[in-house]
Formats: sequence, C-alpha cells, structure tokens
Amino acid sequence: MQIVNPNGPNPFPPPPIKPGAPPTKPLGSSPGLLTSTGGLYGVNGALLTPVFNSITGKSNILIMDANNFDCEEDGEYDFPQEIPPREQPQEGRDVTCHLVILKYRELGYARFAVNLTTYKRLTDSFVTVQYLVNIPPIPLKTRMRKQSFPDKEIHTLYIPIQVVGERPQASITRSGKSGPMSITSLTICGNADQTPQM
Amino acid sequence: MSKTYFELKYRGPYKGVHVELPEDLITPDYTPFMNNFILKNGEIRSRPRQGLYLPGPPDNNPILFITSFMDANNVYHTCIVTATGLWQLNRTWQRTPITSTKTWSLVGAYPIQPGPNNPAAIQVFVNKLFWTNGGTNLWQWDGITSVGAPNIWQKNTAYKQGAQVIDSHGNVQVAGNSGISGSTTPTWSTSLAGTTVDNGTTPITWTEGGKPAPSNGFQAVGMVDATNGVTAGAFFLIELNAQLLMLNTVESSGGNFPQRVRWTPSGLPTIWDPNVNIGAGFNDELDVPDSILGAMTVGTTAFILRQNGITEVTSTGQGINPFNFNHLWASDRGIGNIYPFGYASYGPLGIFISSDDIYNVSLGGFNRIGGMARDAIYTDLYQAVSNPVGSIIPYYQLNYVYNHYKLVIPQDAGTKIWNYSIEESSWQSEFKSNTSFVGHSRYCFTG
Repeated sequence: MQIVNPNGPNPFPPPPIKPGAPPTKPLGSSPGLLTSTGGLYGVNGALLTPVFNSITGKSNILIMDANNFDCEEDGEYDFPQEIPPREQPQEGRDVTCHLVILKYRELGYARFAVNLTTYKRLTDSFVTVQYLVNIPPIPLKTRMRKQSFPDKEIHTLYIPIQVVGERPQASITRSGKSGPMSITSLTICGNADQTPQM
Repeated sequence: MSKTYFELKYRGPYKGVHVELPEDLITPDYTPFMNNFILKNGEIRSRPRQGLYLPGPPDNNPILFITSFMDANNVYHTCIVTATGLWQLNRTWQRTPITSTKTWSLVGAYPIQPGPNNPAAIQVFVNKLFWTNGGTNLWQWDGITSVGAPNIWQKNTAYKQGAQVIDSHGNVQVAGNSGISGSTTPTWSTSLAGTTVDNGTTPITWTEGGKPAPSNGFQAVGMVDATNGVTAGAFFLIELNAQLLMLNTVESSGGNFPQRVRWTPSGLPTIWDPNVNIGAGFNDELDVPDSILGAMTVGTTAFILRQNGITEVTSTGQGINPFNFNHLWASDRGIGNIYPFGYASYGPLGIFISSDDIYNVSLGGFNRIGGMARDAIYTDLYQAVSNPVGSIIPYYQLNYVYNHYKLVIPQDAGTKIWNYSIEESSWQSEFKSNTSFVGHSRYCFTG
C-alpha cells in the first residue's frame, strides 16, 4: 500500500490564497456569528472511499486518481468467441488467423499482451498465442517524437500472429502498474475453410 | 481446401459484461469477462489508479462515512466518523510528513456508546451534518461549535432558525425563526414546548425543548420524548420537504423499531418530539409484513425500501400529518431492497438491489438494469463477506465525468467492484486486492 509520497509531487497542492477566504474572526456583518472550527477552502477535491487494508490492518481513505490510468491491479478484457464469418456463422471449421490490427490511444509508456485463443479439436483443448505489445512500439529516436510522447493520438499497430483452430477469441491482458493503455479498436484478419470438416 | 478471407472487427461503444448467453453467441460489443478496465467514450482503457491514500484517523477504527459539508459561514468541512467520534480533515494536512495525527483532528468523542460499525446514514441539512448508525442517538455537528453543548443564550446575538441555546434553567431552547436576541434575558418558559418571545431587534420565538441530549464536540439531537428523556437514532436518514426523517429507528426506550419512521417539523431538524412541536411525528408501517431496509429521496418523492416492497412518500402540505405513505405493493414477496447499504440515489435517480434484479427508480417508474451482467453480479453478491455498499458517483474529478453506480462487494481476497455506467447502460467489473471498501464513495474537498 502506498501512502501519499511525502517527497513526490503533491497531488493536492495548497489552494491559492484569494479574497473570500474563510473568516478567522466573527464576520463584521454578522456580529454574533461564531467562527468555524477548522475547515477547508473548498477548492481542491477528490473522490474518496473509506477502506480497510487486510494486510496492514489499517483504515485508510482511498483516492481515485482520474489523472492516472496506470491501474495498480492486473487487468483483462476478453472479446467474444467468434464463428467466422459473422454474416453466416459456420460451425466446426478451422480458421487461420494471421494478423491483428490494433488501434490504441497513446497515453504513455505501457506494456500489455494481445492474446488469441482457439479450440483444437484433435486434442480437445484450447491453445493461446500471446503477443507482447510495448508502447511505443518503436523506440523514441527523433527529438520531435521524444517531445510529443505521449501525444494522446490514436496509433495503429499491425501484429503478425499465426493461430489455427476453431472459434478464435481475442483478449487483452496487462500486469498491474505496467502503464496506461487505451484500445479504440481491434481487428482479427484470417481465412476460414470453405467446406465443413465433418 | 480453399479458404475465405474474413475480418472480425471490435470497436466502440462497448457495452460491458454479458453473461446471459454463451460467449460464442454474444455480439462483438460485449465481453464475457473483464477486470480492471473502464469502458468510456468507445475505448477500452485501464481503469484509474487506486493507489494513493489519505492516512486513516489515529484511532485506526473502521471509518463509517466520509463527506464534506458547508457550514453557515460558507466554510467546508471534510469529516469522517469512527467508533471514537467525529474527525475532520485539517487544512494543513498536505504538509510533509503526512501522518494520521496531522491529517485528522478529533472534533469530539462520543459521550455514550455509538451504534455498530455499519456505514452510517448521513444527511447535510441547513448547513449542519447529521448522522446516525443504528445507535440510540442522532448526532449533529454544525462545523462551528467546538465545545459541543449548545451555547448559553447571549444578548444582542444573531440566531438562525433552528439554532439551539441553553437557557438560564439549563433547558434547550430552539429558535423558531431567524432573528437577533434582545438586550436583556427573556423570561424563559419552563414548560415543555412553551414558547418565549425574545424581543431583540428582530424578535425570536424560542420553544422549550427539555433537557439537552449528550454532547461532546458535537451533539445528540434525537430527543423524541423530552419529558422522559427518550432519544432515538436510526439506520437510515433522509430529507424530504425540508424535514428530516429517521427510518428503522433504535430508541433508548423500546429498542429497535424496524418499521418506524420519525420526522421533524419543517426546517427544524433538531426537534423530534411531537409534544414540543406538533410538526414532528412518527408512523409505524405496521400494515406491511416486512421491515425498512433503506430510503431515498428521488426528486420531490421519497421511497422507503423494504425487503419485499416499496412505499412511496409524498408531502401532504399539512403540519400534523405531513406525509402520505403509499405502499406500491405490500405482498409477502416482491420487488424490494435486500442490501441495506447497497442502494444509492442521485437527484432524480435511485438504484437498489432486489432479490431478482437490480432496479433503477425515477419519477417515471421502475426499470430493470441488471441486464446482461445480472447473473455475474449476483454470483459475486453471494460471495460477499460483509455488507455490499452502493454509491452513485457523477464524476471522479470535474475533468473526468463518469456518471455511474458503484457497487462494492467485500470478498475474502479483496473487494469486487461493479460499475454501472448510467449514460451507456453497461456493467463493468474491477477488483481491488487486500482491501475492503467499508463506506460510500464521495467526492470530498481536500483543500
């Protein structure tokens, strides 16, 4: 568990001093009004949740940090199983997938996996082929690219992959703290047998 | 063998988890399984980091709620409650090193035993924070007083409607209107509910409220029988028609009344005894077979949630019987709320969990929203090891609007989280390991 890092950048900088700050003595227009006990300016805020950590045995307040998409936990997103072609699904046919086209938004350095799983009739089992993706996929060499990274734009990655079997299913997996990632689209390209294998 | 080229495209908007069909029959915009991703604006994005913490209070007890409120001086307070008492976030908490004692200051400790360690019901009303959590008291802090007990009456002083003072007999006097006290001590009425006119620049009519309830930094205000000193707390607390309502009450005489609703007069949230002000009162929902497990205000209507039914509460505009209780259904089994802290409301929308589905309720009626993820959610609910807690969260920060219902389900290894995007009607799941969410999520001020 990470307590707010005392030496790191302060996620909640002190609010600016401005006119209209809370009174420190009775208000002139309300001579009898008492001053407040403590209090805040009401300038900065965050989404907070009371939590209890079962490892440390301590109560804390969890901060949801919407400026950082580098999730600290492992993540997984599974796409549906497919029976190509979608327009007229044909059961019991092997397909060969040879390319995955991935479009993603560049949010920062990241590492994750694109997985393709198929069913193997001969062994009655599922086989998964994994392709590790690094963002950026090409090392930052030019000065302009170094300055613009991450550019928050949509990039395209062509992933050569060779998978044979029934009902291909793509998935995205990542480890905790492996960088912020955002997928806008994924396309599996392949060929399906034209005749049944029954 | 000849082959046919194909492309399988997945693109947003993505619709979240779908477990109501086999994974080879669901459409491409659904997912049979996801964890720790967020689906928003047509993108599959790793969810926001949940790795920063504010230190908990020095007593290290479970935190029963966190909220911010603005006091009568327009000063904000971010408060938490533990079994010790009420704490508030210090303005200088950011100064390093950040520690518990520098972060939180104790407004006051409970003078008597509080309720159990459940999420507390809270309500901000007329610039004051009210809370109760199944004990025999309703507590109030105004953000201004730090000594707790109502102040002694003072001459030539401005008081707001509902303000409490201690008169020269040691009794509580409640201001019936805002005004300025006189230059000489009035002749206080010594009878319960007796009124005293305080002839200041702007006269105030005070009402005698009996002996004060216990207080220490903050105060108990749920005196429901001032003659006999009976106090009440509750499990649920809402505001409707400028009146505060306690539901499923726990009283110092008689114990728990799971079907009881108590209310205050309009604008006077510290008067609960009908003998003090006829605008206060109570009603026992004895004509239904179940007990109250929640309440929410949706627009100008309140809904009392029972295990197997829902009661609609509307204002009559009358002082003595201010509310009309309409049981939408009173059957032995029916749509109701089965998790006392799993419901949430936000403006004109409420969401609760029944035994057959998750529902939203608005002025337009009820709708099922469990949708394609219902069975997966209920499987997780079955594995809960503590109270599931629901919150409706309109935004993480003002630069990241994500209006969703967040259902957190404590489990053995951590907390399973189901987010329902209200805008896109999709369910998305997360998991936070080694951490139990014990209260509602709230956007609070930190500076």
